[in-house]
Amino acid sequence: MSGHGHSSSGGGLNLTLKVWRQKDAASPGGLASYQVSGISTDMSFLEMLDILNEQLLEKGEEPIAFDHDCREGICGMCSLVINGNPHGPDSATTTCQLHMRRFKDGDIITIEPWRAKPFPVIRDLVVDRSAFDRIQARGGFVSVNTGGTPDANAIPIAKREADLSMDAAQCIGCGACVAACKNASAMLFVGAKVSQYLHLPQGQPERYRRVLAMMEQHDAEGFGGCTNFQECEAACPKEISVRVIAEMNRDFLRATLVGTEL
Amino acid sequence: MSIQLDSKIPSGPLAQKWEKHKFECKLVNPANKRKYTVLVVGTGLAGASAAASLAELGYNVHAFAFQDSARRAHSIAAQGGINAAKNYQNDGDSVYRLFYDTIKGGDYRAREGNVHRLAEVSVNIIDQCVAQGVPFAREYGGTLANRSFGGAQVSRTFYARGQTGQQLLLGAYSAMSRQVGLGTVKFHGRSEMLDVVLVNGHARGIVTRDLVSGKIETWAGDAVCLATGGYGNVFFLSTNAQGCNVTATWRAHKRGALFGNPCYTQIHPTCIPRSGDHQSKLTLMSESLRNDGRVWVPKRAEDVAKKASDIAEEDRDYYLERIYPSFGNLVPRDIASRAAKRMCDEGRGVGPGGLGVYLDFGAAVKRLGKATVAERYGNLFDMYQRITDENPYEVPMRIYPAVHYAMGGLWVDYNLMSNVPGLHVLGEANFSDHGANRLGASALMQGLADGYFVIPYTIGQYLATSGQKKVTGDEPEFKQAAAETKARIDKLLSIGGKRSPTSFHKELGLLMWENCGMARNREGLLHNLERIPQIREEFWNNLNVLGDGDSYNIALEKAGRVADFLEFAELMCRDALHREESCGGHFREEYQSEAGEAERDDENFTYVAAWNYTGDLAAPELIKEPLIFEEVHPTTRSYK
Amino acid sequence: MDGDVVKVPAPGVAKVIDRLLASTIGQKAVMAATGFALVGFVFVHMAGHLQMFQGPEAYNKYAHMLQSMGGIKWGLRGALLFGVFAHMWAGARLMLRNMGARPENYAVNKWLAATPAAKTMRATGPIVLFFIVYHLLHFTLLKVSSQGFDEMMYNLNGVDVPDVYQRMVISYQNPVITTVYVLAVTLLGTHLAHGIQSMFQTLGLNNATYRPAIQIASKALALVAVLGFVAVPLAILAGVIK
Ligand SMILES: Cc1cc2nc3c(=O)[nH]c(=O)nc-3n(C[C@H](O)[C@H](O)[C@H](O)COP(=O)(O)OP(=O)(O)OC[C@H]3O[C@@H](n4cnc5c(N)ncnc54)[C@H](O)[C@@H]3O)c2cc1C
Ligand code: HEM
Ligand code: HEM
Ligand code: SF4
Ligand code: F3S
Ligand code: FES
Repeated sequence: MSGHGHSSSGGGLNLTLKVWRQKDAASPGGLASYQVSGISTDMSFLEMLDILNEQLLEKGEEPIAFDHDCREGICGMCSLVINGNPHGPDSATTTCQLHMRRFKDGDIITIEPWRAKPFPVIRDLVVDRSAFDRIQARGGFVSVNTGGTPDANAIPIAKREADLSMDAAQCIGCGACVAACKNASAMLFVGAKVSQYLHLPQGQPERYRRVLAMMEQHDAEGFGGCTNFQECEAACPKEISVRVIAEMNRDFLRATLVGTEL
Repeated sequence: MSIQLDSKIPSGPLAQKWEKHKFECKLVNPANKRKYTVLVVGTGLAGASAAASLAELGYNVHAFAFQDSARRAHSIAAQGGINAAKNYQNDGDSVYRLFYDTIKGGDYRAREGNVHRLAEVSVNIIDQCVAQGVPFAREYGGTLANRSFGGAQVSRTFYARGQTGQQLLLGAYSAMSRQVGLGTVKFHGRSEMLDVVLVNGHARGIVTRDLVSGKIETWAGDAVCLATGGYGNVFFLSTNAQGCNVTATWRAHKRGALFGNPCYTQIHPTCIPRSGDHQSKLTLMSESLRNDGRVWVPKRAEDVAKKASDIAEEDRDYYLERIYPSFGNLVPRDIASRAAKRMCDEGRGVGPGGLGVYLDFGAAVKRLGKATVAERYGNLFDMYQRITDENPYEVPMRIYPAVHYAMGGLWVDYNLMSNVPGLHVLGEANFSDHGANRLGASALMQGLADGYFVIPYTIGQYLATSGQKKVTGDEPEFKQAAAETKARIDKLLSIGGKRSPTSFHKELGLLMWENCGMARNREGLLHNLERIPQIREEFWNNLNVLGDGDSYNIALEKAGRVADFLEFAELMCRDALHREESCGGHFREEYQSEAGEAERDDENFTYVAAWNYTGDLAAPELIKEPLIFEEVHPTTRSYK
Repeated sequence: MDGDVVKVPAPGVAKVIDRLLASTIGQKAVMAATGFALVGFVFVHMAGHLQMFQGPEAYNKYAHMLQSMGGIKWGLRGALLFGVFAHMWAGARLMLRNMGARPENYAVNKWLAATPAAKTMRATGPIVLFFIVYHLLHFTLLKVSSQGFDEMMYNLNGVDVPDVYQRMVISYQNPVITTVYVLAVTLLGTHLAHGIQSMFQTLGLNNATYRPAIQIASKALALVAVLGFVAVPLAILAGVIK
């Protein structure tokens, strides 16, 4: 198969891709093998898939569906498990930021979707992550209406707390934590949201209601429970620390045992 | 019958217009709000904040986005910050100064009334976001931190590390999520709007395609808000997300909404240059880099192939500092972008294809130390290195301008309503506040102003006075719009040609960048106007989309968007051709000074160009809304 | 209206228990709390039988003291039994749930960060359980050995008490038994190496500052437990304790 005019003069990489193909949620899926050649090492991983898709279309095969949008590591849309690694081999890097210079000529790359019961496959590599939105809708907010808020500087917030809050708030909702966790637990995602608010004065009034409700939804969606594997932290492209899980556990237990919300 | 445009700017002194207007807006009885359904299309900053605020007021809201979640809208990508006239730094900022800077930055092509309102509500936005738990950067004393940004001479930009857009969007998303939990907002993700339904001349519904099941659905309501973002992807390569499109606004345009100033697009100066044909998008690096980085190219074209470190200090041309001594590296975006292009046109560009200039941190590292530079820009440097495999601490970055933002959009009045009654347009999708050029950190401000603080008042005015009967979605107008949408999709699927949607998109994008990009001229625009219909023709005869319409079909999705770009691009070129002046992001090579600076023609072009679709793409009708300056007096922008 | 977002639970202890037993964090907390008690027992137990090094008199006295605690003894036994049961129950609930949370597995399965101890918790736990059963049969119910453990008595200041010292020496002189114990205790150590730090995380007592220390301490304590336990059987096998 030719590089279709995309090959750089240096010849580029020739790769074998094993890609999960599945027509829809109801149909069974399987890995299909494709060859790509002349892949420039300056390409991003998704650009490599773009090229494969153009080739497929030309051959009369439907292109591979995968989620993506911003292609700069912030929207949380891209979601590929690459050789068993959610978002691929580089740490702190989303799939869309992964570049082909990370691979060698002749590599075999297996590409699979996130796998978890609450993330059913929509097609090929695209999964349904609306469970995250439902968790969010249960408590991932501060109940404040538009208008009538005090001056932004009225409540000073220690820089350290603001920073801890921001560390957690960086979560892009990609779901790599779920994909990586052997229990398919979404504790890192929920913990990140809970932690963002618990470090801010604005988050205090609903602190305990929030964690109880969000975790109730987490469990109801069918995510697994955390047994502290810490795989999630390693896979998280935003390097969210499992300390957010500890913080959430603490608040959940406090709410449950001390009856803050009873 | 030609359309008469009424901008509905309230009378009275500038600073009191909005107060007065708010008082004059009709109110909807609280008990009745529940009976009104508002369809909000797009849930970026503008749409999500509108959906949340309207639902809080009691309206029944349906919100739509083509992504799976509101949290993924393109607003998430904004890095730099959001402006607000808080004057927390005591450095002389004020509502008036923000207003003035924005009007001037927009090269006197925006409405005074709108811009002043924007500056007024900017302060409420920050209060609102902080109350929502947006973790803005703070000082050790616990107060909010600010930085100066995008050429402003005061420190009025609020930020959350390099992820301000993300944090603001997550704030709006959380407010909307709360309403989703309460059942007052129903969110429809992976759902693309493909048409607006007009009943009795009023926008009363939309047609969507469920991207997963392929189902064409119609939705009926009492008003429609489009907050579908910008059309920068008409250039194929831009800093926009892959899904950004013109479809929603273009469909509305074809139903009668006027398109305002489509040729005003912003080119951002600090993007990573492209590395090859495979490139699918360009990555922006925050403008804040220009605070400490110095921009240069070799003085002599012979030196461009040399390593940067081999070019002696005296052989480097720090051209921004040279040409614009008082603003230096901090000149506004349009100026910086064009200067870079000029350097490259002179053959002094660096990197692949000679399309790049250096942004050098050598001096900053020496002056501040590597640690400080890393603290300020570390994440951007990492991003740069990830993409280019070069270490910016050691070799200067290479940057090149890229399409970034669309100032143009659907024409709206002061109430954010288009000329189609009931059709409101918010955020980047409208044309309203930035004139011919947008200042850094003010799009986030505008999106949230529209959604949190403007539309909640002005939509009531429409709903309370429109006097329209309820619609159910069973009216023939709905059926017909759905049938037309379906037919269009069937058409796309049945062409059975050879070329992929992407290949057409690329071809169009290249043409637009060449002739309707950073610099435009009559000849090039005329060329485009000849070529675009030809590409469109080929598109509809030689497109290859496989699969069916009843499933998740990415090629079909893409094809629909490219089809609309192919029509819209023509309007853009027409607008660019007709505007025989250079202003803001619109630079016509025929209208420049000796020194290569833009030359505005206030006498003939101080108006908004609002285009009406006549059924013939080749002959849209131009309707002018004159711009009246009561407060400020247009002068030549000078940053020297 | 806001009350609709979060269902405010009806007050009552029933709710507390329900939440603990039904939620994933609650179940995990049950494991951590019971785990904590079990860890406590392990260390006390270990410290206790290290007295084997002080000779038969000291050790049998200690054993006798434990045996004659009567009600307290049964109370502690009950608590331990309950702890093991609750620990197992919660562990099993979580494990079943977690296995169901990924119905379709990856073709390429990779571990990124988890320690070997973490990966094997599901195995080391039950193995320890089997060991405990065996161990109870061995020393408490005296069903393993046919060497007449029942009759072994020790004269402690004129009173005949069971000669637990003797039972141990005879047992561990058998290399097979010693091997079983050493293996079991090593696996227990692995279980604890992950378990102890995990407990802190589960109970929310972990944070960025203490995390490295907790992780090191967890491994160190596990090592102490293993060494403390294997010291006696190995000493007997080696003939140091006779
Ligand atoms: C890389 C980058 C950096 C930026 N940095 C800054 C900055 O620092 N400061 C600043 O002020 N501005 C910045 N901007 C500009 C700013 O981010 C955007 O202008 C702004 O966020 C647009 O918000 P929006 O709500 O109008 O649209 P978007 O956020 O683009 O949202 C569009 C919404 O519409 C939906 N949609 C679109 N089409 C359809 C359809 N056909 N059917 C259904 N739904 C549809 C999408 O799903 C999405 O929900 C930046 C822009 C870029 C590209
Ligand atoms: C009876 C059989 C046992 C089984 C089936 C079992 C199983 C498990 C499992 C599956 C875990 C979860 C792993 C994790 O959360 O990381 C766990 C945790 C733990 N186990 Fe066990 N275990 C058993 C016995 C024991 C014993 C005897 C002890 C102590 C002496 C113990 C102490 C712990 C501790 C401290 C934890 C950590 C709890 C936490 O993470 O919060 N376990 N066990
Ligand atoms: C090699 C190390 C060990 C030795 C030498 C040892 C020795 C003993 C002895 C002699 C008894 C009987 C005490 C008596 O009847 O008076 C006993 C009881 C017991 N041991 Fe161990 N033991 C060891 C390891 C363990 C471990 C690792 C565990 C569990 C994790 C354990 C759990 C128990 C329990 C539950 C009892 C019963 C306590 C009771 O009767 O109430 N032991 N042990
Ligand atoms: S916690 Fe990390 S991995 Fe999980 S959703 Fe957020 S960003 Fe993705
Ligand atoms: S990997 Fe899974 S087990 Fe917990 S610590 Fe992370 S959620
Ligand atoms: S595509 Fe947005 S994070 Fe990867």
